[in-house]
Amino acid sequence: MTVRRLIIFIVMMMLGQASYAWAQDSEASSEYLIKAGYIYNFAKLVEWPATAFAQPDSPIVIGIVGNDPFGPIIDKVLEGKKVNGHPFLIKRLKPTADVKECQILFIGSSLGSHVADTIRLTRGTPILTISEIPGFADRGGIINLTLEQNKVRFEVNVDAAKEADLNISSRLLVLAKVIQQSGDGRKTE
Amino acid sequence: MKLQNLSIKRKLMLITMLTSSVALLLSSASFLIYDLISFRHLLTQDLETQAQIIGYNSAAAMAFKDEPVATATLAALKAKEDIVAAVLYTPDGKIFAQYVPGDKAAPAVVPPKLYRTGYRFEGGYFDVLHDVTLNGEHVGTLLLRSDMREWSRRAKRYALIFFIFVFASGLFALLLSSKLQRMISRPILQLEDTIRIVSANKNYEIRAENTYGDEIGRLMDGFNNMLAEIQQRDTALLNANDQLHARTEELEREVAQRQQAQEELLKAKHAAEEASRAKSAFLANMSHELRTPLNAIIGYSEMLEEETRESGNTEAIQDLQKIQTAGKHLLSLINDVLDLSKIEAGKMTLHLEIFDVPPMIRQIVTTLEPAATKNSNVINVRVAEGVDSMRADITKVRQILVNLVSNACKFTDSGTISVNVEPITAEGQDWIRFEVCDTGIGITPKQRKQLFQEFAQADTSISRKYGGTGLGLAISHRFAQMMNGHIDVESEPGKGSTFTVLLPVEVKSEGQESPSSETTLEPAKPPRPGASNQDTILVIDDDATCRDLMSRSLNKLGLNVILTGSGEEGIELARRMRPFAITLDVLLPDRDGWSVLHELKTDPELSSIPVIMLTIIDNESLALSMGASNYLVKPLDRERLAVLIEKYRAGRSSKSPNRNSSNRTAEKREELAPTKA
Amino acid sequence: MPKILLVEDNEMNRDMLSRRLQRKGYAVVMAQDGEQGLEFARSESPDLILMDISLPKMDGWQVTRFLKSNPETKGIPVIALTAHALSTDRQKAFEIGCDDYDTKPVEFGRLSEKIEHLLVEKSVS
Repeated sequence: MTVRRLIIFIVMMMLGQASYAWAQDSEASSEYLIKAGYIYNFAKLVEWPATAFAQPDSPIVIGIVGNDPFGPIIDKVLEGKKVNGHPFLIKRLKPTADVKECQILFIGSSLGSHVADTIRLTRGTPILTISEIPGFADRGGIINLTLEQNKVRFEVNVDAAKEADLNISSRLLVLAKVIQQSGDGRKTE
Repeated sequence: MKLQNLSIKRKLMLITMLTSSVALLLSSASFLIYDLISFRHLLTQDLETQAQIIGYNSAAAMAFKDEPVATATLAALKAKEDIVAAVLYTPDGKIFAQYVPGDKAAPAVVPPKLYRTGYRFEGGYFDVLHDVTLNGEHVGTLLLRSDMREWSRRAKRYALIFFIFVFASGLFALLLSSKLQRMISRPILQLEDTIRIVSANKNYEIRAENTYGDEIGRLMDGFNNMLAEIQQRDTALLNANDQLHARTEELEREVAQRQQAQEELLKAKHAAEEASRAKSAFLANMSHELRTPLNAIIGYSEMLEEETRESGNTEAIQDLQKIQTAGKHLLSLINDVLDLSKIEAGKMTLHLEIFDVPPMIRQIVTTLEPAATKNSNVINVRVAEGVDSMRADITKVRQILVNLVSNACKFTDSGTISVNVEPITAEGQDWIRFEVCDTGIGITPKQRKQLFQEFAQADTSISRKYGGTGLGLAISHRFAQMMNGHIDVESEPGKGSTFTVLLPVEVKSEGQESPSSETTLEPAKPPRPGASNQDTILVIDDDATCRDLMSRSLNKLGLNVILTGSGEEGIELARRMRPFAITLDVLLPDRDGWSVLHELKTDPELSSIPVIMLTIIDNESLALSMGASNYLVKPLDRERLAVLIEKYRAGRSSKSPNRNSSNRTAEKREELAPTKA
Repeated sequence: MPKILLVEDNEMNRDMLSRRLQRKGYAVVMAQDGEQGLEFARSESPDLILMDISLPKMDGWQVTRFLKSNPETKGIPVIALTAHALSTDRQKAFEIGCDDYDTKPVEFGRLSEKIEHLLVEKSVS
């Protein structure tokens, strides 16, 4: 084996790694691209009560607590977009922050035990809670993003949505796995 | 089949049918078309609405890329039978979900650029494209394709209805029109019928029945009026025809009568002609038979007288003279009787010619000198100025005058007999008056009555005393009458008598208006074959006898002769025929020969033709100065004429005057004396 | 002595005229008809011919025509004797070529004058 060959092998390996990584990255990023898109579409198909917005053109605040799996992707996707005249405002919040000013709250998986608290906190408030923590919807979250057969799907807890005074369009429900679970844990599917 | 020749009924029905069909077709067609168009519009709208709904319903699925849900949404279109395909395209034109019933293939990818939203008809299908949006964001395109079966069905149905309807209404219109056309056609057909009957039967009493007030009604009225008129005229015509028949019959009868009369007349005429011929023959015979022995008597006695004179036997001379006298008397009797018979038979004819009067008078006087001297009479003659020539029967004129003068001599003793001749104008005519006066025994009124009657010498004793036949005056009287003149007598018994004879200067023969009308061409012989104008000569002379003689002698020279008695016609003929020479008589009836000459010589066409003037008057210098080539005095010297003509014929014209040596009148006048009216 | 040919068919006339002519001092030859007349005209060479017009068979006009067209005889003067005195006959006579004419019944004096006149003329020419 020549030195030259060796160099080439190394480079190739690195490239492969890089591409793999990149692929992985892109794979990972394409999932969140889609999920970001989903969130945008959720905004379109969910109706907040009139009290949720101070003004007709007040932004839809998306709060992200816990880890942010989207990164700049979500900013890019929602940049300049409006839904019903409301632009988007993405805030990354500390877990202890006041989440009541958000219309959409994305709970990162790192929150762990705090998730229940957050759910309890936001219950009855017009905040669309979205997460990708498994069982999120069963525990009272409104929308849970799942991954089934390499496809992004989502579950929607209609009772929780009703409690939150959020009107979710049937059009969305058609596409979702509907979960009926009230806060007190009764499951109806 | 010509449209024009269709019957009224067919025409009317055709019109009705056509108009109603056209109206029907147009209206129903436009209605149906409108309906189909709006139906299609409806369907289009329906489909578009459909697309909208489907689009709305599938927007979320498109946004979330949920293919099953999208497909399921499309599948809902199963309910709509006319949808043959429904496709949802992603924003970049790829098929995302589709619904294609049956085994049809999905339509090809539609380029998103051209068909964002809209519709089109293509290949029998109706495509609607719908922009699928979720909250304003374009998430995909929906294509709905319909086979528009409902519309096709409707259209087919309509077509069927249409044809049935048209057919049915057509039939109905046919029925109706066939009934209604009678309104128009019946009166026309009636009229036609009437006309046919009228023409066929020639019956103009028929009238067309008219119950219509419209234009056809007026036509029928007009027709009826016409028939009435025709009827009237027909009747009138028949009447006229009847009258005509009656008249024709009348005429035919008349004609038959006349024909009969004519036949009888013809027979009578033939008989008369026979008689006349017999008479002429008799007279001719008698004339000859009677004269011949008499001539012998007179002749021999004369001869004997001469012989006896030589031998000196004076007694015998007297006896012979007596025979002579008796013979001459008998001869004059016979002549008179024959003359009178001729006159009676109507066989006495006039032989008119132009002659000089003075010479004749002189001759008569000379002849009668012995008769005058016998009774110791003296004859005085006075011929007035202006008495030149006249146109009459010289023999008869002579006879009249001889008769009168000899009568004067007979009945006058130691007296004077005057003969006066002068021209007079009376009743618009020119006459010559011969007056014979004597200082003799005169005539009593009683005698006068019988004077001019035959065989009635005033007194039988007179004939014994004075001689004469008693016929002389009668004959003279008749002769004068024949020449349109008359004899009058004035007398005083014991003093003398004056006999006046008036004769026209120009005696016109009976049966002819004037000599100038004798202008027929009388060629003595037909023109020789091949005779050209080089051989044609024109003779202008009013005396028929002259013309005849001229034509005969000229024909002998091998010439084609044209004759005329009129100066006018002569000029005309000259122009037409261009003879190589013209003989022109000075004395012409209608125009003075000199003026004719003048015209001939001043006409450029005719001036080159040589003109030979013929006349009884000698005025050569005038003739030549006026351009006559030559000048001959009548009666003609034929040889001279022939020579002249030969000269002209050969083309040489001679200007040298040719004088006629014989018959020069003693008096040469300065100007031409007028001799004609 | 001048010779005269007399053509006349009537015996008495012939007799009268010939005797009178002879007495006048003329020699007379007589012909009874036209044919004879022609013959004698040629054979006798008369100085003058008296031609009666009313001849049998060939009339006097014809005879005269013949005479006048025959160079032998055309120089002989001819006097026509005609019973008619019409102007037409006169014209005809001249036309035929007669030198003179006279009427019948003959007035001997008149006739002799004419004969003399013609004989004189002839002798001069």
